Amino acid sequence: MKRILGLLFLLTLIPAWASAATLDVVTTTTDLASITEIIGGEVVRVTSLARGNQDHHYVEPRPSMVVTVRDADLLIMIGMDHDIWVQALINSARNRNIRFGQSGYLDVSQNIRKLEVPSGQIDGSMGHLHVYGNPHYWLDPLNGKIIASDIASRLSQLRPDKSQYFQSNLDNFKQEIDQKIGEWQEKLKPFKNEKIAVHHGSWPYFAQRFNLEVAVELEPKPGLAPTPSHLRQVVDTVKQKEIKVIISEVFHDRRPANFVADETGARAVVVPSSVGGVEGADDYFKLFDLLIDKLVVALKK
Amino acid sequence: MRKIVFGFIFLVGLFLVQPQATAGDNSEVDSLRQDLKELRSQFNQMQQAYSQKISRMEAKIESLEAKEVTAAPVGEPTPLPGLGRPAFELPDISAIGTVVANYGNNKDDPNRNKLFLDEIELAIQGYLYPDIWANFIVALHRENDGDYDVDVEEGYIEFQTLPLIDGLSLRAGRQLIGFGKINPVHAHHWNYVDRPLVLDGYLGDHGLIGQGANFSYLMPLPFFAQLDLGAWHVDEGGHGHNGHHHGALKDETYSTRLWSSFALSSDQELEIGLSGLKSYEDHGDRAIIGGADFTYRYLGEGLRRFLYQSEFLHWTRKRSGGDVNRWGFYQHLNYRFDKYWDVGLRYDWLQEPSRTKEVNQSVSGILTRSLTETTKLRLQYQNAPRRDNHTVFLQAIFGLGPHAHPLE
Repeated sequence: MKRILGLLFLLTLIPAWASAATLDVVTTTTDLASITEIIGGEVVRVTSLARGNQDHHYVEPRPSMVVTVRDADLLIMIGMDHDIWVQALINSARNRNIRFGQSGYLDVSQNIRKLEVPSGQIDGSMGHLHVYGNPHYWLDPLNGKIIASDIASRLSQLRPDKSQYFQSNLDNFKQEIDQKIGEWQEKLKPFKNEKIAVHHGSWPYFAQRFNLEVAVELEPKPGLAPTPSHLRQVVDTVKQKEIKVIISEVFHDRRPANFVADETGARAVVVPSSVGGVEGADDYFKLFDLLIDKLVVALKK
Repeated sequence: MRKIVFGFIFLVGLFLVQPQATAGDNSEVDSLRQDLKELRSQFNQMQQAYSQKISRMEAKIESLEAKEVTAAPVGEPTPLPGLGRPAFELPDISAIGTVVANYGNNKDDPNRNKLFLDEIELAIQGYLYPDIWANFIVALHRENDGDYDVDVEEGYIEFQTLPLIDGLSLRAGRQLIGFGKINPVHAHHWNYVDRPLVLDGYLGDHGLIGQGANFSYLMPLPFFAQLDLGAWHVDEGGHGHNGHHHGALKDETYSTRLWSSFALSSDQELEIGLSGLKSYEDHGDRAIIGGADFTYRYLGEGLRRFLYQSEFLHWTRKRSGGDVNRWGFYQHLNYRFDKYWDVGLRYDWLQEPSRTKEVNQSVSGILTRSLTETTKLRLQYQNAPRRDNHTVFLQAIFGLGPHAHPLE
């Protein structure tokens, strides 16, 4: 009888043990991983599928990633076809919880106010256009707050017993963003409406938030390799508009930006666009610290 | 807003005009007239200033309203491919074409010194139901005699999860048989123009395709390990034939593959696969083929990638006069500089399944320029030393529309 009671007692512990377990969260990018770590704290174990120095459009799904996705309680993605490669992993992982429409599937673009949404007919002649708009929205820190809110809300749904903890972490995150955004905007204030050149169109959200103007892109059309004739036009634009800075991301070929810089006297700056893109960009806040400091130095010169 | 301000100015004007009618003293009247003049002037300035401000605000509102038109609605996740795009409920429809130019000194090659459309693949893909995916691929192939054959290359329904057993999935219908690394991969996804000799010789020049079902089990292990078991009927004279070297594989065919992968670090991965196949030659002899494949990837900064891939196949024909055993392999190195360029090298070695047991070898150097994920231009030089054949291939692969393949 005592044995039976003991067994029953152990059985009653199972739900408590299960609810106390850590949530396995898989994100497609390091930026989402960083925000999830801040919101989820000790309750989550986070893995990013892409690395910070990778172009997220072209991540190669590998078999080892299938296991990571199979074991996930929650899969968080950028959406807007930015990380569409994750679908091959979802299809292979046999994890019902992380499929579209399930509680373990979270596309954090859902509450973002999207920019550059194309209208009319779209085809390959326009380059690699994203039909749902420009997906680089995490580069506006205020969108970081929207992402964090969505993550906190979903984590609370998965672990209701920890919802206050997630809410508290979310409040702190938002407070820190509000405080830091003032600092970042102050640093870039002297360069209000400054025109910049960029390798790829990753910067509309960032430029809008920090009052910069993307005047020209090195890619002739989104995602297409810079051509000599287009770079000639870029050189003219940079000279004509007195552009001081050309931004490339860490994974871009640096030769086009260096060519334009050599021809015009503008400065070519290589910046990370994701957490972990370079040493020092260790979390979402440090990414902007580093990004803005690099830009300020380049614009001041 | 403009009307309110003007009304306010009019009322104040009336109020100021009123005292003028009741003034008795001339000097007072003059002084009041002077005050009124000044006030009028001040009001005119104010009116102008407000008017400008209001115009600026109206312009701002208009520009914000214009921006709103281009913004997408919030509150909805991005729809899945095949789950219905905006305004349409269509599956993913795509076409992939391959054009090849072949220039060389191999007089036995029916495609020598020709430029031709090699293949068009039309695909319709999408989800039918949660966890159930359908894939239809119709292909137009150029045969060696120059004619075109239209075939259903693949047409299957995939149950990505099954009840009772976690990790189990089922694919039923016509499909490329999951034997080895390259056979299940469509040709436009390869890093080279031609099929490696060992696959061409033992599995067929269009790949081994069967009608049947494949169970796939993702094992509950901390590393990737997947076991595939398939039972098929291979049509004689379809894509399951083995080129011009020897008889076709046909009829009842069973396949198995154990595929495992280990992440050596965050930027290195090693895949090992073991495959087995039991089928019939068209003479009625049993054919048993075993295979081992290795893939190593190193992922550098950005899109840089180093890839080593090889497959070894052992082929046995069971005959009453004694078994015939042959083997062959290919080894492939590929280095991707960025998303636009990659270079490769492939070495092929094959014991022909003919009685003479001839050995065929070739070495290929490959340069690929990717325009998009599905559109590529490729240059390949190949040397086959046995007959001192030199061939240069130029290949253009072009894709239209969203096109998906299972994990490779």
